[in-house]
Amino acid sequence: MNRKFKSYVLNLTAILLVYLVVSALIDAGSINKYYASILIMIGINVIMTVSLNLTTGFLGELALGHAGFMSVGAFTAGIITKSLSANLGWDPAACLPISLLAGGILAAVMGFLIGVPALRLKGDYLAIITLGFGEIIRVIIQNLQITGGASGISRVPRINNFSTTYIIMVLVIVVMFTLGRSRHGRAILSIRENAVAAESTGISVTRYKIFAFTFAAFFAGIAGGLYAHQIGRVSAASFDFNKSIEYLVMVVLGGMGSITGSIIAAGVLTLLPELLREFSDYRMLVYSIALILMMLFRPKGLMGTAEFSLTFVWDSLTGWFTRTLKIQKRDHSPMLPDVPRYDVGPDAPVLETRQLGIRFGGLQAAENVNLHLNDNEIVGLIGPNGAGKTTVFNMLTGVYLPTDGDILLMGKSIVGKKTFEIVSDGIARTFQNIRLFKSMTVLENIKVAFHTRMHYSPASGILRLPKYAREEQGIDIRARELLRVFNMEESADIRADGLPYGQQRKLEICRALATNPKVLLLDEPAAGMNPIETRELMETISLIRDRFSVAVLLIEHDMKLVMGICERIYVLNYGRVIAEGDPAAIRNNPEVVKAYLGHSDNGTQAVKEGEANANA
Amino acid sequence: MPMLEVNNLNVFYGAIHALHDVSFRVEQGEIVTLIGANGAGKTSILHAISRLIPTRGGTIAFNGQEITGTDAFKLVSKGLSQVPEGRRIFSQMTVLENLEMGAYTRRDKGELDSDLQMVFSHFPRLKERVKQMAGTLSGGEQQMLATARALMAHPTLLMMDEPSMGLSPILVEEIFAIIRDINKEGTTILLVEQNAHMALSIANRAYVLETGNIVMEGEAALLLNDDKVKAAYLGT
Repeated sequence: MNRKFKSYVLNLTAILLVYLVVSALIDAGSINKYYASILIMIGINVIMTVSLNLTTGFLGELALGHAGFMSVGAFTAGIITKSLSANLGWDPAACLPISLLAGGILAAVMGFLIGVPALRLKGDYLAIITLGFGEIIRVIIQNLQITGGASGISRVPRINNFSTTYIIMVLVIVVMFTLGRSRHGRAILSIRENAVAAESTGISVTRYKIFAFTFAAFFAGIAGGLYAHQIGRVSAASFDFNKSIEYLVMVVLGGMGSITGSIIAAGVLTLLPELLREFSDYRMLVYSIALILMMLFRPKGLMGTAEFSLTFVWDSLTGWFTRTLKIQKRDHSPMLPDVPRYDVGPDAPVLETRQLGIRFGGLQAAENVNLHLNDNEIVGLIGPNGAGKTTVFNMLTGVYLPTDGDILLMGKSIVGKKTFEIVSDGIARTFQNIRLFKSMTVLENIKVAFHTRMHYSPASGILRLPKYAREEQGIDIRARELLRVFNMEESADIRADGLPYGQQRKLEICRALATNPKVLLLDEPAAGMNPIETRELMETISLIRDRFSVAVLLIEHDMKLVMGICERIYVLNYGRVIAEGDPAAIRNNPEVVKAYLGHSDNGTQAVKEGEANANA
Repeated sequence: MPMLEVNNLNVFYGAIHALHDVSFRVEQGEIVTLIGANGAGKTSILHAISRLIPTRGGTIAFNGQEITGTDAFKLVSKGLSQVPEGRRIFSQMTVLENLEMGAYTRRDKGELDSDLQMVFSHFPRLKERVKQMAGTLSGGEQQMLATARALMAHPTLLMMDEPSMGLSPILVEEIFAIIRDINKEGTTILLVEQNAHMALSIANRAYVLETGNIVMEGEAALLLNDDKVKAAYLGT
């Protein structure tokens, strides 16, 4: 049986089974009203926890005001149902979908308004701002006429029941899972893993942060609506800072980034205080001690970032009886490389900088830098430490805004563009200290970089529309194909940080190539490599140029590599180009020898060895 | 008595057995280098000695004293310093503050100035940037700073993890000259390097590591001419 299909069947069966059993028990009275209401609170808390996990676990931003969004949803939904049923005489049950949705949407609007300023900034601003928001919203609600002032609103029709809560909870969980496994979910994860690298593979970090945060607020609003119709009375005081912290505790306990972990934690932590009622005064103490012990022994939460999988359990159980043979289908149709998307004349440079310069305060880090890169050329950028080489890369990729000059990519200026836009325009890079999405697999790392070449919307990702399936399938094949070119296909499913060092460097290059660049910038690719690995790297770089027809600009201190594969070399010192030419000219340039190479035979030796390698 | 004696050291990362019964020693006044491919376990050895990762079984004696039960931060005042790989500098502090932090455990603050002059003479570039935030230094400059900071602690045993990484050719020569100088001034050195050629040419003795096992040891000068070492690590 197809694994995917099996997982659908298993999960669907489990969901239905739980539903049928529990509602039958409630109907039969075996679960009394008190326990039924606890089950419903668990459902509401699951929605809250799972949605907060999207912000805190998957996106990696600490949010301290999740209960604030819940209160927005609760009041909105409560007021709408009350007034529709009282003023227009509607059946309260018919109002429920409208008021829940309205509550969710208003919470989402709030989320968006807070997220836009807060998430543009780097650092822990979101935590502070959401903390403030939670308090502000409470104070506002306590002072508004429409929300009933300090006493809140009461007599909201108590029309919520187990079925409604269960269905909505399942929907939210399913949406989280499907979203998480779409290109959008990958983009969100990659931001948590390494925001700088995400931006450099073409992902708009700000946009996705706001998207995830707004989405989470929407679900919190829905949960609030359910809560209002469950309890019947809503007061702002019940959504204070402590409430937000409670949800955060559930997320942390379940495991940041694990949806099933959140479900379990929400269940346990809702149930625990109720079960401990007989200890009366001591119950909060027991609850707290249980929490502390949990965090001591499982600091990453119950599940870490892993997910509980029914398919896995099923397979393990059936595995006792039957031995399963796994035959993996493989598509060997060659799909690479992409056809280069540009046509420049053979003489026109692909990339050109004109009088490029940048000043940091009083420090002129780069000045009057004129570089050009021709089609299919491998060019070196060398110079003493602190000469401004990486600074030039950062200007080319939009990380720094140059204070002078211009950068032309195929004749068009890219100055002022954002990093992720420059990636789609065709400049990709690697980093001096490797920046991979460490806890994602090798294959997923590549897939993140294919982000901009897929086009399906979040909705088709969540609903699994044909476009989603088609694009994801195509990308899977192409990502594996790309790995095969670099002999890394075998490692596709292991975590990126489990690769040996040299392979990590290779993966980073591979990921950069997946964005289909015209220009590839490599920042010290051979750093930390031994001579054998460096030689392999030289072969890899030549292979890239030949197979992917990209121009390569590389910063490197390993002279064997630079002299061996670069056609031209620029030398930078104190932010200025002090020499340009072929390897032979560079190694004999007295100024370069003095500032950079040291012993002139340092270069000569390397050139000889490089040439020998090139000929070999 | 060797200055550092490691016996049957084992390190596990989860289920992965990273170091297998590793034994070696460093005598007073020596430069000893560990060479091997990436992932062979060189950095793990340094981390194990610095007590930055837990070990399972085995002993580590520093000046005859067992240190497997000692906290990492206490080792510095015992005279054991490490230059970590990957430039772990204090990025929100100035260059000068970083260097002062290096001298944190020392009692004889009076020598601070002369020590600063000493590291600046080795790394004039750092003197130019003395008031700059360390995080804004270039990669190679951060590497110099990490080395300079370790020197400020006046260690008796200095462990260096890839000190030449990211340095320009002229500075690579410079850094090896510095290593030789501080060794002559009395500091014993345990060196991990990818640049095996340079490392072997300044070291007294060397150990070759393969997938967590020591597979070869001997006089550095002899290993430099060993055919197997040449083929596997020197690329000649």
